[in-house]
Amino acid sequence: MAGTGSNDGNRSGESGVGDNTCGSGAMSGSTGRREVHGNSGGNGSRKGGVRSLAWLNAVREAGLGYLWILPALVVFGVFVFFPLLKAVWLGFFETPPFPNLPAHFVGLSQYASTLSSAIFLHSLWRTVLFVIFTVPAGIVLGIALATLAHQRLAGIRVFRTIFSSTVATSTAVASVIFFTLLDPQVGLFSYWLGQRGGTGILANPTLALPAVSVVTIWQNIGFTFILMSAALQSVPDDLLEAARIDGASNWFRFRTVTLPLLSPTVFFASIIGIIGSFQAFGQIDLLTQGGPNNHTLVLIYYIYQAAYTDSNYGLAAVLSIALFAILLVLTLVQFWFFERRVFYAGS
Amino acid sequence: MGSATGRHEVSPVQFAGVKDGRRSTAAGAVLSSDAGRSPAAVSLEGVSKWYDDVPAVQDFTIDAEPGEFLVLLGPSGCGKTTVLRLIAGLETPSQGVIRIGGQVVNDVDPRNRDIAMVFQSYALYPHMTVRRNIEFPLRSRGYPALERSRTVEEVARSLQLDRLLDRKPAQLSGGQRQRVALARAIVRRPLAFLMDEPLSNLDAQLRVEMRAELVELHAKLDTTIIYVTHDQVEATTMGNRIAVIDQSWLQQVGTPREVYEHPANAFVAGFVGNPPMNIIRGRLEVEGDAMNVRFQDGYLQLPPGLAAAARRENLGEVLLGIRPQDLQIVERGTMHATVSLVEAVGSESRLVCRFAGGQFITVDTDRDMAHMRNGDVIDLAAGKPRSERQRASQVEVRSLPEVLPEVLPEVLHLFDAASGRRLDP
Amino acid sequence: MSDEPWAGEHRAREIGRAGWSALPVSRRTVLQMASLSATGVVLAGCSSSKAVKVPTSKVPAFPLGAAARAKSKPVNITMWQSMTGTNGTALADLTAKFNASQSDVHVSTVNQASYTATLTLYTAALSGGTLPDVVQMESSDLQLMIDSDSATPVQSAIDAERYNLSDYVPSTVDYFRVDGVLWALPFAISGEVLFYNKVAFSKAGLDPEKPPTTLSELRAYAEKIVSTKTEKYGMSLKLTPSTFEEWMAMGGELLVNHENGRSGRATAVTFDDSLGKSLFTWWYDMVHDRIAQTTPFLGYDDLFAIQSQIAPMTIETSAAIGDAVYVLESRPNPNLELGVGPLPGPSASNGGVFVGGSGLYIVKLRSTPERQDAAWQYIKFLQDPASQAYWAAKTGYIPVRRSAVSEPVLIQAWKDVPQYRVAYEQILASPADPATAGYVSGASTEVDTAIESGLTALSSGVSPGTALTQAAHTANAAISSYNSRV
Repeated sequence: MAGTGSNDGNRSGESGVGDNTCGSGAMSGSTGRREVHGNSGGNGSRKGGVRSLAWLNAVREAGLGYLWILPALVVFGVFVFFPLLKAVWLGFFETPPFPNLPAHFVGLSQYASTLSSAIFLHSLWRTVLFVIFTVPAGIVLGIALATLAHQRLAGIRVFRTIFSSTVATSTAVASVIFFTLLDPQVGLFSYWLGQRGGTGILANPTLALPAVSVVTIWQNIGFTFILMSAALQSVPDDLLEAARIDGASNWFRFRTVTLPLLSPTVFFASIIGIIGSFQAFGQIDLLTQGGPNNHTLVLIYYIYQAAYTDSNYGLAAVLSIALFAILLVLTLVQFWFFERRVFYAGS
Repeated sequence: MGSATGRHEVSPVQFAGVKDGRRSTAAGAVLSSDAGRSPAAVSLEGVSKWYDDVPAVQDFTIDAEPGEFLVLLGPSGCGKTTVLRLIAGLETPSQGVIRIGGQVVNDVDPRNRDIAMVFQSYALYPHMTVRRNIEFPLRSRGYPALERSRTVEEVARSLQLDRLLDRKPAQLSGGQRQRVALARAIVRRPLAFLMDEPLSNLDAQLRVEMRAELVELHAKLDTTIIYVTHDQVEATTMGNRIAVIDQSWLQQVGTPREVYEHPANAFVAGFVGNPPMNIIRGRLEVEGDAMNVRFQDGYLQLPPGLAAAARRENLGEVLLGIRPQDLQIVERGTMHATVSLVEAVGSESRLVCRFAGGQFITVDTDRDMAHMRNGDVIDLAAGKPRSERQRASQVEVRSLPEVLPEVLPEVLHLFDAASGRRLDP
Repeated sequence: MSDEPWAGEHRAREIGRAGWSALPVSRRTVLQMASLSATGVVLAGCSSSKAVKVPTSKVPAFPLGAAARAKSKPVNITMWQSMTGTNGTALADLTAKFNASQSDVHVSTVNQASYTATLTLYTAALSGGTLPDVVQMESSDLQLMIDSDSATPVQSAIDAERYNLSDYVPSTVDYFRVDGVLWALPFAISGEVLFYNKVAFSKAGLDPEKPPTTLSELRAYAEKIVSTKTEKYGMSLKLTPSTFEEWMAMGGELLVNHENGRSGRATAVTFDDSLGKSLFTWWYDMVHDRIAQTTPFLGYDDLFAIQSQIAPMTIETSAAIGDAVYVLESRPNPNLELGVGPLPGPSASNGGVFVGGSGLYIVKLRSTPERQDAAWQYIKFLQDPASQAYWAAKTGYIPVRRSAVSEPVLIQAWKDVPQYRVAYEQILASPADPATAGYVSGASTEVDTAIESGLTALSSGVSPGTALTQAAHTANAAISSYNSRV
């Protein structure tokens, strides 16, 4: 037993116990394991002669590891990596409107022309605007509502339920409700504003994107609220009490104690929110269909139009890859940025 | 933002002038604020706190004098932490008046109460460096940056934290965190420090050291400390006075010696002292002139003073308290017990024995009893050893004294079994 | 295959039918002749033009009678359709009737919710999924269906059977004819008409029985409604590209080149001409003079505006009449009485309207002769005068057969809802020419969207000239992109 390789923590552990002849004999559990690890280096140098055996062991270990992740690899391969590569490949083709007709290989030219086209840049800008409109406001509102609902007041449960209820509302239902509310002829909003008739908000090029953003914020607020409520609940009471005693006003305490402790959740919510906003489709399809005059033509809707209205799968593939690349870069940037700024409790 | 709360000069001598109330004078008595003297640092008058129907604190009246180290001692759940939180303003009293520095603070926000608190968990802000943690009370009150950093460094130096200022709490050991919590409390000299079991998360060795440090710190600061603990050793070693609390009621207030030597009731008697006092249930029996306490396994004759008191009160059931070191193993005594466990450390031994009724009693003796075994039957008597000399010789010969030890009145504590009240001669 | 009895018969007639396309005739004549040939007038003299060579690939041979000769009967076929509600029920009734009427063919219908969904699913299935045998496709998808190379033109079957088209309302079949080949038979046809509130007309001092017939009259009526403060706006202008397209057709103008894409693949739009500009200007003025409000392409806001008495006129598809009448009858209101008039056109109107709706296609991809013939039998049944009368009566769509009008069921239905008749008569009166046939392009969705965007831009103050040029530019780009991909 003592002759086996040293790379295996458990095995060297057994030999380590033998070497030390630990009187306690109570080397069990995690502490025992840790001590053992400290010894493994010494064991390794002493038993360096059986390296080939160790190598074989390592290979066997690795093989076993790959075997365990094989199902996940297969699923990811079939449903993620293959479609991704296929989409990249499809972008090299000018595709016919019908898949039964031949496609023309055009190389990178479709990528170049699409990504430099005015409509793509327009769409990208609208998407960025949409993200700017929805994500920060959503998070701020979520924190605000969660803070309000965090009070110990009679009947606060009712508000918690109301605030989180949009989670249970589908995008389709929310969109139809808002579509009706915003309708200039029969909608309640125009009635309240005393401005019936005329161009509705959703048909107004300036207001359409903000309107869709408001619907999106409303739709997401339940989720953000729940996230932020959970995060608030995890802020230890004694920290807040300590801050009160230390003389902090409510706002100072919120700014210097609560908010930093919420930062991992804010980070999470912002990533989820940005990706969600980049992929927001239902509300746009139901409320504006990219209009008026492409003012709500966010990237995902442009992709949808290219693929399903224009049957231009090559173009849609190029756009999808662009969206993928943007989201990938954004996520990496966010991780890089927040790794420095975000406080992770207990780290 | 912070300027609204007003500025305080950080002056180490701010409360130095008030010294006279430092030692409690009225033994065992509950003090109330006394007009004509400087006001108590913290005073509670008839304070009660109820959570719905559950009482946490009932009719609590106590003063902490300026510069006093007052310990609130009690088992967990007794309400001692609630008292502290009431003083801090984290809870509002259901009844009664709380004063800090003579001013009623019932409706004053915690941040305006001029107190500092050290939490059991330390409650360090985990995202801030040690420096930021310590300066937080100054920052939140809008002290200028220069003054902040000067004060923080001074305090950090005094607590040996000056080399850790840029670390975060997660990078500190338990003792270091404890000191950061203390530093944060003392950085601004408040009227009183509130400490909620600040040492309970430390290991035994560190706890002993920190006790000493805290006492030193208290001497240096000369500011009132109200200190909550369930550890009677901490209480007796650190406090100027101890307030013993049980089941939401204040049981006794006094110096450690008073509480130890004259426990006001059976609870205090059983709670203060290590190991705890043996409390033996018995029945009073008159036998001629004498009065005995009869147990299932023997009896004990009361000294005349106590006997008179017991007769006066016309008691039946009583609780007899004897500290383990006041029980002597004798050749032939009036009490008999069976040995369960022997703990022999060097020349001293502790025996855990059982009465026939099943009750455990502890006997501490300064003789080596390692030869005793489970099941051995011993005879016991109450009293102090005759003399130092006798004790020394007994170590050698391992023989038991032929003569009963002298029963001194102070070794027996008699309580009414119904109310737990102490009977004094 | 070639020794099938119908093959030779077909070839002989094909030569006669398609002969005209090689003749040096004007563009408009070509289309007129095409519609004539469909009515069978030319067919009678087909043998006289045997000399003209026609590429046989243009119209493939059709396996007529294959279903009847099938080894196992009935031949089961599937139809994909997009009819919902009452329309879906009526189609189910007709299908059941067909299945009961004979034993050769059994049809199952599959509802795909919308024309858009049908196209998407159909396109997806082309690469290897299960295709239907009959597909109901939106009329504007004609060029897409041709380019998909997945359907047999009904022309093949018509030729094979010498099927007589003379009873059809000409412009309904004209729409589906490209380069002389009829690709689908019309179904669920509707046209654009003027909806108005008769009560509002009376209040404004207008004759409720005399709706406006030209755009200048329409403006005058709208002005009157606004100036008398009868309602806030004179009318709603729904941002439907087809309204503009209809006006162009009524003005005798083409929307795209190559005879609206019917003599060859359209390569550019032609709507950015003087008529187009005057139409954009008219629209711009209506909006900026606050006589009209625009309403979205999506939904029925314009009808809601009539109901809520915000604007008493709008141009809508006749397919909406049923719903409008139903809503008004279910909630009677003394201030509302629905009037329907023909679509007002440009004053220099010398053309007619083209139809909207859908066509029924015979799918050939991964099909068999039996199933194609079965599909044809079913389509033919749906086009019977009796079927069309039932269909029109139940749904409010325009019957594509003239004789259907004299069927009792339709007479009764039109007596109940006289508004239905307006669209039929308007379409019946339309002359057969390339303009009134409507335009075909594979990029029709993008072209339509470009026009809609142009009209939308007018509301935000873009000048008519700029908006029109921009629309034409966008549409042309879409057309070239499409053309380069097929």
